[in-house]
Amino acid sequence: MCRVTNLLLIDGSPRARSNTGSIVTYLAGRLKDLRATVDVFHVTSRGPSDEEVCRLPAIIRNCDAVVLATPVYFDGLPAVTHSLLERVAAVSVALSVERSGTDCVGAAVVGTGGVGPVFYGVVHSGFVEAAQRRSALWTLELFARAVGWSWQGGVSFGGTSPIDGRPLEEVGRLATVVREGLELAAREMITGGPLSAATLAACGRSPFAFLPRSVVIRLINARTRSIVRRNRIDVTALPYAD
Amino acid sequence: MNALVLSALGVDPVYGPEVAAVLEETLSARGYGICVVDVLTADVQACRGCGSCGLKTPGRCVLDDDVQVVYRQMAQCDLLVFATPITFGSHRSELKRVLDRFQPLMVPFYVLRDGEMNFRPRYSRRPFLLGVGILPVSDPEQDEAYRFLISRNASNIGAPDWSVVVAVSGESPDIVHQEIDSAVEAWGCAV
Repeated sequence: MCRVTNLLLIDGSPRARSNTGSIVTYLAGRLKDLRATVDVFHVTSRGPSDEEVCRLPAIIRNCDAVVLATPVYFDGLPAVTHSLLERVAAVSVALSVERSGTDCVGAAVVGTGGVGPVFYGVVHSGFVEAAQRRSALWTLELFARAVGWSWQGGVSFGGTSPIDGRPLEEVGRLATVVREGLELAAREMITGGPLSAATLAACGRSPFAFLPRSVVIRLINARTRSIVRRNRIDVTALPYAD
Repeated sequence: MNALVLSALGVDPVYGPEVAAVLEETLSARGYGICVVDVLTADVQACRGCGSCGLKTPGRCVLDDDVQVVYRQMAQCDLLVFATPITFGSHRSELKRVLDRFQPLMVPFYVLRDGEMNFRPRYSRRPFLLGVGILPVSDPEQDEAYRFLISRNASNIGAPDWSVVVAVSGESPDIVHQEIDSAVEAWGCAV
């Protein structure tokens, strides 16, 4: 394993002030503490321009590692983030065909033989169960396979809604799992090696400690009900019914 | 019985239309009225994650585009179909743009469903879910990932049941027809 000194962090959230942004900022800080050079690329709601996508291969060529951090939207990556992966894969395949004359479709499916940076994923959602983020992680792994990047694993955080776009240092106890998990992950990412089972397990802990989910649900719903009552919102409206 | 088909099949200009035709014929033969939304040509803005559909304009998305029509049809359909080329084991991004906008169809209260945290569906009508994915070549891992994804989507929307058909480019339309027909028949949804 070689030491990783240059990393590209991709913020895969379409929102401007997002929980993903908070996670990326914190991870960037930890990696810089470990003396890495870090660049950040933000997807944004409009998605990257054609020009930005064409520039990405050159940026990535100068990186030892790419980390894509993403929220989960409807069990997968946000559409703009998934679109970015499709476009990068298309550019990668085009470059591969140019270099080697290999069959374009075959290269897109089975990868280009391991050329490229090491690739990590950071996936998070408000739901606490890891299964709810499994599809998103799988997408990242299959993308890496398609473009010939070396997949070194992905961490998965649940219960991240309380972050609310704030710096992780300001969130308090509810972000302890995320902070600790990112610190562990950063130390392993800097080696360019796979994320360990211990790190994945540490990241996968519920931030609500030993509270049963039924209690967590009651607490969160109680907060929502309080907002609904205070603002007199008809939260069960049916605007699309006949 | 009404079926809403959200289709990105046009991304594959050769095999996509073949599968689209088989899908429509099969569902029609089973008595479904079919509405097809071609997500490649529909006016669909990306979800901004603004959260308005939860507590500011409950149940209503503030983005004014063709998805407003999709919401109305979603609230009334018996069968929901996601039809797409599979990329990295998942839906094409063009279809995902529509699916990302499904949050207004949920009430912002959590429930435990299938043993997991989920949002409560807003409308009482819960459609069955059929995933129809196409791959350019046989790829067992993408196949498995896509099937898993549809199971997750079904749990997400509270579908009473779900099924998946994965077709490989060039596969005989008869095989695709049989698989879709078997899936629909198994639910006992035929008119």
